[in-house]
Amino acid sequence: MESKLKKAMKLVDVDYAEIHIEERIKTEVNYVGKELEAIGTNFDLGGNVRAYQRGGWGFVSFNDMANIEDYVRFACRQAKLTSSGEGKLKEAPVFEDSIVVKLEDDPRKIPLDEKEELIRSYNNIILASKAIQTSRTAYRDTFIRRIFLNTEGSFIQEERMYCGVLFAAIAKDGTNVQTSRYSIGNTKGFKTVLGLEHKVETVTKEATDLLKAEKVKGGKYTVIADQRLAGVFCHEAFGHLSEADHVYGNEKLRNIMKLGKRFGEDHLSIVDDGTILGERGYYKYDDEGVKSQKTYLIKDGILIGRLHSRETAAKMNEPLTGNARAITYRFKPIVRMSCTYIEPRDKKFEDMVSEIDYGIYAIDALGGMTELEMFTFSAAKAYLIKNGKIGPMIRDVILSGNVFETLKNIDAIGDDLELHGTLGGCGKAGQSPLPVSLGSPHIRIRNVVIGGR
Amino acid sequence: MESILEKVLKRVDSAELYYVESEVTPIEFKFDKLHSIDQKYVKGVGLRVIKDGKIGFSSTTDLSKTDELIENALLSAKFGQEAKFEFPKGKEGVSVNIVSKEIKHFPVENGVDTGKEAIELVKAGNSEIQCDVRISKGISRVRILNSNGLNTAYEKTVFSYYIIGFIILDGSFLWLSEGKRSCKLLLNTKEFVNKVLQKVELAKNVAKVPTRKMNVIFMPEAMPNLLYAVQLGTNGKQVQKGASPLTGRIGQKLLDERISIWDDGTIDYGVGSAPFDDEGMRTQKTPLFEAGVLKGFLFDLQTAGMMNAKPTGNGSRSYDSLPSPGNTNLVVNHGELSLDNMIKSVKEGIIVYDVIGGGQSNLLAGDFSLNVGLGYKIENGELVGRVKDTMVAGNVYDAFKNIIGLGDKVEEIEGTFRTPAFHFKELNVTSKQ
Repeated sequence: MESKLKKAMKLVDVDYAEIHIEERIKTEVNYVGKELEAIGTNFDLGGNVRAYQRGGWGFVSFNDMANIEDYVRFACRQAKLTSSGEGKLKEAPVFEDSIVVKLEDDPRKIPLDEKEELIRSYNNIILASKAIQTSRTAYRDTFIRRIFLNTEGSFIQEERMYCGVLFAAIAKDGTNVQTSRYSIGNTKGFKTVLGLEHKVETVTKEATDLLKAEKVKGGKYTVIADQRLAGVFCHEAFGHLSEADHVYGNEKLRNIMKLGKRFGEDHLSIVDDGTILGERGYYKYDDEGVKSQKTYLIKDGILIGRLHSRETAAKMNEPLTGNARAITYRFKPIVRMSCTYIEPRDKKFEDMVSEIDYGIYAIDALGGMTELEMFTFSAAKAYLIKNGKIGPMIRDVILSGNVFETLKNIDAIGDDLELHGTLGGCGKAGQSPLPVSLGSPHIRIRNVVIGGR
Repeated sequence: MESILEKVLKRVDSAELYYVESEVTPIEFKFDKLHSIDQKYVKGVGLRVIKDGKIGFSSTTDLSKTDELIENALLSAKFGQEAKFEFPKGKEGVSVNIVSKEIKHFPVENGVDTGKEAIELVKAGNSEIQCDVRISKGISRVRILNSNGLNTAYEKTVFSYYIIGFIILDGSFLWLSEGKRSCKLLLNTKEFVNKVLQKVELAKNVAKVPTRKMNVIFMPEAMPNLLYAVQLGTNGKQVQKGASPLTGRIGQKLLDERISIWDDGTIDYGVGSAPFDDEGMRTQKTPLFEAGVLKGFLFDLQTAGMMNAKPTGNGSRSYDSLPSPGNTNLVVNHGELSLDNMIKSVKEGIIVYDVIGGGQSNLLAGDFSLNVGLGYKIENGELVGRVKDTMVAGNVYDAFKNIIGLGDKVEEIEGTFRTPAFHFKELNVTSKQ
């Protein structure tokens, strides 16, 4: 394979080109209610050629390995067609490297029977509860072996092994249907999915509790976001604006995202770090063969960095960060986050709560989306805070607002940082889910608009 | 393909191969400039077996590894669901036009020229607007073979063309997307550009919106966000799980009597259309709501078998998954109201063209809570300006009971929806102002 790829690379007649080959073996066990909806192993082999000629890209993805030389030619032809005659890529170091997955509890070694039995036992816990209408319990492990080579001489083989579970309990009372869910996913091995009975029980109970929860009244609130929700906020509302491909072509947006500008109080620092071993957002090399790294986006309240591909780093004349990523070989790498989190400070959670007369404690997110400065995301569950104490559960808590105002409205940052990944991931430009990790300590935000009914 | 089927039939009695092959060529302009031309070739095969009455499945994109494919499918059948169906016998598919020669032979260079023209026209209308253009042509071939003698194939072409205008108005961002997706070649550049320009023009003023219940018009382009709830609720799988709020309510009047909704896989050039579904069943028109009364749900073979219902030709899948019920094209009948009359009748309300945050609420229950991406305030029958930081919330099933009326024009949205505008009596509007 190596010699075949290197031979095909010789056909390149443009500024730059790279070839990715990717093998994916995915095993899943998926219960919905009592039924095992999917079980088994799927195999995927494919690749792509990406070519660059002064400002223009060509990209061909394929499953047929036999025609690889044709695909190299196609990609080069398209790159020439799209070339604007100017533009270059940021210079990047050349690497020859090979990374092999070494896990004691490699999920590939665990028989399918064992995976099925574990997932069935979790699923049965949910279904044992009377108020539960249905469930979803899913397991997935994905082994990926990637080969990357480019015309500059890099040749990188990197293996990754993702493993995780998701459970959702769906409770129903008449037309009132409520869902509670939990997911964990990372690159730590099979132990990640073991011993989660208590989590399953919590999810089950919460779905039932949500049936009785009052709907939140719309309005402005002081909100404490837990680690998961704050992580989603940090990723969705702010992180995406730090992706340079959103920024480079637009002068006005460049001004808004100007490095050196104040984005929050002194206590606010936001980081993207792809080097944290075991995290779902971990990788050694991105999909342009650039090493992952720790990048400060906001430090002490000031915007000091953003995430780049080789193209955007050249355009904005900023350093490389190793954030060009694609979900599979069928997609071009675009600027993406890795493991994004708010750095912890020293506020105790109890003190955050006790200082609030009337507010909301919002936990985890069912989903989140942004359209540049505007964000909206829904808390998985929430409690009213009254006179400094956490009160009854409420539901349908959907937070929205303007990210710049909201970051400035963060008035307390906790000491309890947690990072987490799920079975899902981040979506951008039709590429979903990309493995990422999110994180934060508890944070408190003033004046959050909650959409209610 | 035949040889894989032959091989697997030595080990099991029932088997099916689903093979898909596609070529898609997306052309993308970013920030006013041609950014990339791609080509995507996909080839993959899914193998479904029934062994000892149980379903097994595996897939691969490496057609040199068919032995592994067969082993994986058989291993999966050890645990699989009990099969409640038999693979369908060979039948002729529905006659429906989903291939356009113009798409097949559409040269990449024409796509590039079209995009350039669109950007020039937008710039000529308003030089402040930056443009992305996405043009894509695709051809796919599906082939299904099974042990009951089915051996059938079809080809489909899909063209999509979207202009995304981007402008900063008084310090905040505004995105406007105009375009269409179809099995036919659509090059309505002038129409799309004019819509972008009109919407920007109207957006220049910002109007204040109070937080309260009010009259809301959802334009057809915003309706899919609400219709997703109907799709979920009428999905046979959600019904079979008892998760749909519509479970057990067939024959009940749940919506306003002016609303009828159906799924139709036989519409010429509909992106969801095909002669047969992904299990080889003929596609059809299936009523979901007729005059507000719940009429039926959508099924694939297995779910129909479990429910003792008739399959509706809605088996939907890609090569790497088992089928499950899925929509083809969702259609809502038109009403009586012209857009002008709808707007004129509103004393105070909003009209919504685009929302963000779809899919985050408890959509299965019909709940929605959507941030208005593009919408305008209506006062005394006139659009007075764009709304900012505003959310619209409600429950689809409640809202569809409380309509003032439906628009008199059905529009094709995203290639798979056909819907008029909805004029709701009152939805919760929350504003930050």
